[in-house]
Amino acid sequence: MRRHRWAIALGMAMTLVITACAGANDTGSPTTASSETTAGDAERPFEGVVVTLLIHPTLFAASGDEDGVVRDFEEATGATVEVIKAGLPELYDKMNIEFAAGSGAFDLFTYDNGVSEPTLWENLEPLNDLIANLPPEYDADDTIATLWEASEGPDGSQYGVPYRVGGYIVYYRSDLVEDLGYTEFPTTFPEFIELGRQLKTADRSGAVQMGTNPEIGVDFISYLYAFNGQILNDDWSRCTLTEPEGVEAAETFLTIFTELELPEANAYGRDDYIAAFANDRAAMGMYFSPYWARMTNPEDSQIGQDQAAAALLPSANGAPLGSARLALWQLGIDKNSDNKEAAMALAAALTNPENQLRMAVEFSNGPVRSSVYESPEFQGVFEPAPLVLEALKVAVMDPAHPATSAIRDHISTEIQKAVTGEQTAAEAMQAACDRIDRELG
Amino acid sequence: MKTIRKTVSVRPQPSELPARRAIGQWAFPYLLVLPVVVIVGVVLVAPLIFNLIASLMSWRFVNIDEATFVGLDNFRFLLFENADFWPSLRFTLLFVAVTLSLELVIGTASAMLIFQIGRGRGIITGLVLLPFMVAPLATGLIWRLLFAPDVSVVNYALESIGLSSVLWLGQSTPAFWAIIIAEVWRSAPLVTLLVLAGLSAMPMDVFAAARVDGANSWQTFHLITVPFLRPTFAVIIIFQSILKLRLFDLAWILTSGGPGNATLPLGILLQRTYFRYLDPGAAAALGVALLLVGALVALVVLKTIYREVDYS
Repeated sequence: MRRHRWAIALGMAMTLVITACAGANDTGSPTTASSETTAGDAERPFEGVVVTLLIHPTLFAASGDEDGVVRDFEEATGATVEVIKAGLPELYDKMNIEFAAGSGAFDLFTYDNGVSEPTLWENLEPLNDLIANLPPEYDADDTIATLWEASEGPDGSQYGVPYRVGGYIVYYRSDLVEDLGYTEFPTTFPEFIELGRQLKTADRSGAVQMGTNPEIGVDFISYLYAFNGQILNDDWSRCTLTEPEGVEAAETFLTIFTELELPEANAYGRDDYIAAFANDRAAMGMYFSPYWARMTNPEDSQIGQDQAAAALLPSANGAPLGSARLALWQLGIDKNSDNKEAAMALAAALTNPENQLRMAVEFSNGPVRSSVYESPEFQGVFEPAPLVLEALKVAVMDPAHPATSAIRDHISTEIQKAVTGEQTAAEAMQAACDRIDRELG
Repeated sequence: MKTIRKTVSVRPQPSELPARRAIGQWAFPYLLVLPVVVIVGVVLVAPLIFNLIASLMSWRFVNIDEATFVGLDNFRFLLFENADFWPSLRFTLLFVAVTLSLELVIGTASAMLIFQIGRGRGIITGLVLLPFMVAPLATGLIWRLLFAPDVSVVNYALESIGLSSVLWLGQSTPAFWAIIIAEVWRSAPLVTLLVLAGLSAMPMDVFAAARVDGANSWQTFHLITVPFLRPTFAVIIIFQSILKLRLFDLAWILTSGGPGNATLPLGILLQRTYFRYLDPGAAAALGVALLLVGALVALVVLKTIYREVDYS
């Protein structure tokens, strides 16, 4: 009987422990967020409020990291910002899980225009009223107009605040190009390829692009737009990669891998192809514009700023010079958030004129404001600034189709097969369209 | 004659007890394990049932309230329309077969060698086990650096002995072998440990008798050692197959399933289908396919390889 009492006590203890564990907070968040917006004083209006920010690590670094804009916001407003960093694609995994759960655990998100927009429109808070209530000094009109348009939903509501943008432009070794006798950078693709051939040596690729999945697809899409091609037709009923512009773009893109790159460059990921330029293993390539600082930083790079220059991506078939993919990062607020005002205030802090300039000059952020691109301070640290502004004005958005992520994957997969010689450029476009048309239904 | 009386306390049988006490005594052990059963049911069985149901439904990731029953549509899509399923299944099965074969050979050989060691066997075994203690993600990062374009240490070693470098991650076949090498490096030690345990349990008198009968090393190995280790091999094959069918981390880090879909395991395809393509129904169907493949492998192994050996 005494043994039975011990057994009963042990069983009850186990049950209590298991129940306690099951009831514990399992979001992994180390702090408990207050879910009420308290009315602080005018100087610290969000005292006691915890705003959870889900952000890509590169974007957080571009805001100054732990000693940057976010901490300044905390001091100024009294809010506590819980920063959750997640790279791609984990960022979208976390975001979608919270959308599915309707938890509102993340008040403010960063997302790029690579996400299936309808998913966002259904789960993000329309921001028109919140933006309208911002103080005049925020100057929303200073943000590049196309970026606000890119953040709109089909109902005309604003679902994102542009935070970071980059153009896709060509960075090249100006010293090597000048040595070859060029006074201007090529504006057509045949000239671009010919230059790449001349720049290629046994130790240095003439030109490089990313070769891993899905980055290769993302890079190819910029070339597609440069050839005035599109992924889908106007009503999104069919894939248009097999049209002449698409095939031409694919053939040119493949030429870079087969003729201009060193063999091992086929497997370049993002960091590899940035390092290749910085370590004199690549003479040029189309890059996301904010990478300039990484490629010319004297502490990390063998290439000085006097050896590097920028140019617009060549174009064909009537596409404006510099046409490429628009890569925009935005800030959105979860419609289930209990801290929408504080979240909007944080978004405004990250995108106001003063901080956008500071982030661009000090932390290599890609600014979203025209005034920053035109400012002497920014141009002093980022020589290609005027070119980037030009590129942004002609940048093209990917179709906001629910299957956009799948479409990009399909393009990446088939392009990679062409790079490894399993199929031609035309076959790759056909195979990609076969997959994409199935997605379209 | 002296009579010794001894009082013996006999626990009453349930049938001798009042009804209520009998029920309580019968139910008591079940009550004690009930919490664990509930936990296992919630964590294992319920998700499995949910997955089976989800594989017959269709909805966008975040709109589960709009789920509709589509029967076997998701399976039909996988088998006949998904351009990645069959290449992915082929790669996954090939990966399991090749890595398992290599690990059995390497693991058995190293176990036989270690078994010969007397003093220091424990330390040697511990050192051999080190790769298995490294987290899969860390293994992937290590080997990605070793195979990295431009700075590949493996290529440097190959070139230093007069061989040409390999495009490890940029071509389909080398990428396949890159993942195989990393996986075998990580998992062969586990096979070594299990085979070593099997060898340690073998009766030595059988070997003595074989020596007396004039059997050489090879005859001893394939007529005595291997049959005796069949149950061990069967356990290794079953468990390692199930683990390898779930390949995700190594392939994710090394190749992301590329080039193309040359090294795309079902695990990454499932992850993409669920989180990137936002199609939980198709992802659940993939999960069911994985389950069936794993069950089939286990069944085949149990029917063909697993056999108890009694030398008594």
